[in-house]
Amino acid sequence: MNSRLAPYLTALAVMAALALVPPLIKFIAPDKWELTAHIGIKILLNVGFGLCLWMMLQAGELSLGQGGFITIGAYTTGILVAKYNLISVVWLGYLAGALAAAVIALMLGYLIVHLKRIFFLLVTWSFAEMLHPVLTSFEHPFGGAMGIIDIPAPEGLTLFSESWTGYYYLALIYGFAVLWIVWRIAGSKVGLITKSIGQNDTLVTFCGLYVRKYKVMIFVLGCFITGIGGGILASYLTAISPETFTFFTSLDIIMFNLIGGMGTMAGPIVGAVILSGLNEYLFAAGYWRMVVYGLIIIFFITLLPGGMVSLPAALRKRFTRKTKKQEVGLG
Amino acid sequence: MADRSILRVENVSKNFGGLVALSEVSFHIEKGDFFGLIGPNGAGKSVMVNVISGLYSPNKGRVEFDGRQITGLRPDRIIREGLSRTFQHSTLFFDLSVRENIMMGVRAMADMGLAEAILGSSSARSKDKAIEDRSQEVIDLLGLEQQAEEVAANLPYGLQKIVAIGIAIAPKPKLLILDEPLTGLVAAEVDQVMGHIASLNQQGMTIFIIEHNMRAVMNFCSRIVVLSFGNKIAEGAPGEIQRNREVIKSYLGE
Repeated sequence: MNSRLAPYLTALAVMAALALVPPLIKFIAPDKWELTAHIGIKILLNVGFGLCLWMMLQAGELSLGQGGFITIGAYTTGILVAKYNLISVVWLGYLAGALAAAVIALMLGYLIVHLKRIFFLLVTWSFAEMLHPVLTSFEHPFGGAMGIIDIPAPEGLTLFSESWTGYYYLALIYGFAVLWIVWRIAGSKVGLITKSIGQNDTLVTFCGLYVRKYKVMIFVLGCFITGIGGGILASYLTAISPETFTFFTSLDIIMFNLIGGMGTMAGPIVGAVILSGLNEYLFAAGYWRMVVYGLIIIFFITLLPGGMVSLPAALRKRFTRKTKKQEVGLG
Repeated sequence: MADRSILRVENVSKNFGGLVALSEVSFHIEKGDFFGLIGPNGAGKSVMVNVISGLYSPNKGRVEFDGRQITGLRPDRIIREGLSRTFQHSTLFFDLSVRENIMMGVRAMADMGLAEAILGSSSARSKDKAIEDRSQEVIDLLGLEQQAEEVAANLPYGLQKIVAIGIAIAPKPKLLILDEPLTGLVAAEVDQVMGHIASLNQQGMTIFIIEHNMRAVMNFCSRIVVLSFGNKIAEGAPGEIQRNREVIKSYLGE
């Protein structure tokens, strides 16, 4: 088999398998389908968000404001499609949401992408936090504290008897489309430039490349894709308010990369699957959720900085080291 | 005479707060030269390279490259004009392979757009091929074939210095500036690196080298400028520099 095609075929096989989940569960345990679909949709959208951040992390951009770009995508869709009925096609509402996120990312990015590590993180975080009071304060166009209600499903989703199945397939397509885009970039020369910027941006400059251009480009693309996901979420939830996407939304997206590992693309995918599942249970834990988060962060940073994907290698290393010690002891 | 010169530095001064790093320094380099810039530690040599390559902007004076003023241009623009530089400490993309490191230097990297990268269009494929061909040429030229797929961090120091030169020559620069390429190398590595630099010069590339290794500088350079405490104290052929009383004084003291 052609080795260039192998990753695509693997992805298609996984996608096909995931596409068979709805009929299978509906056949085996129809009463479990709603909950399964809900978790599945969350996971697949989160995989997309996590991969966007992974792409930015390659360029050394640690954004704690991705929840803000989800908010922008969701609100733009809601305002245009539901509150004022300015756009009659919901799909175009998603596109508008993505464009709004991209335009704001372009303006913000141009100002801040040259800031290193902690400063970039602080600005993106404070930007996302700024949205909350703005959205709450203005009845027009943001709907104030009540937010926006009656956000319709996209056209064509009514094909399915209940909406969860439709959203599940929509999220499946979204997750794999993001995977494809991020995969293509990572394997391209632009991906090589991005990775190089993350390692040594001064040397990239002295290779004759304008670092700021590439950093803005990646930031804008990541926020554009995240904005589409925000639009889909707005439809899925049917109602959004300033409290829908919080600091924790942004933190989660970083956590996907931390838990899964940032070294490879598999990291944020594994992280999104684990944490999205875990979050459904942690939701019940209320305030204690933060304690669990704190422990998770400390565990991964101190004991497994390479994330879950590095676990097999870490265990192998530990195991071989132990046997070596034993050998020394015997000798 | 003027049309022969590739780099003209005119009355360049650079201060950091109260510290005068360069004071009214002027010199020029002619096409095809093997030019050396020497001086004791802290003389301002690296500052000079940083001013020329656009990392610092001078407080006074101007730099002209290939007939065009480059003072105040962004560093990446200056590099695209056809001037390449290396750094004092081995500066590489340590987690990338040797091949990927050298690809980063190839000029066509700057032309790759985001959309064509995602879609893999025929234009992207032809640019990819141009980048891969040029990096292969550089790898062959520097004899790095065996280490091409090795991660740069795993290479011995001498080879890291050669890879850094590979990144710098990948865009086929008109002028190559080398900031202490021999520091920290053992004798065999010094000969290897200087051999590569000399053969680049024979192929017509203008070389501008900053170095403390006097034997290498005196053997290879055709013209030398000496800096001391930010001032130019001497200029000339190696023989003249070796006899210059000012130079001897600045290196050995009174």
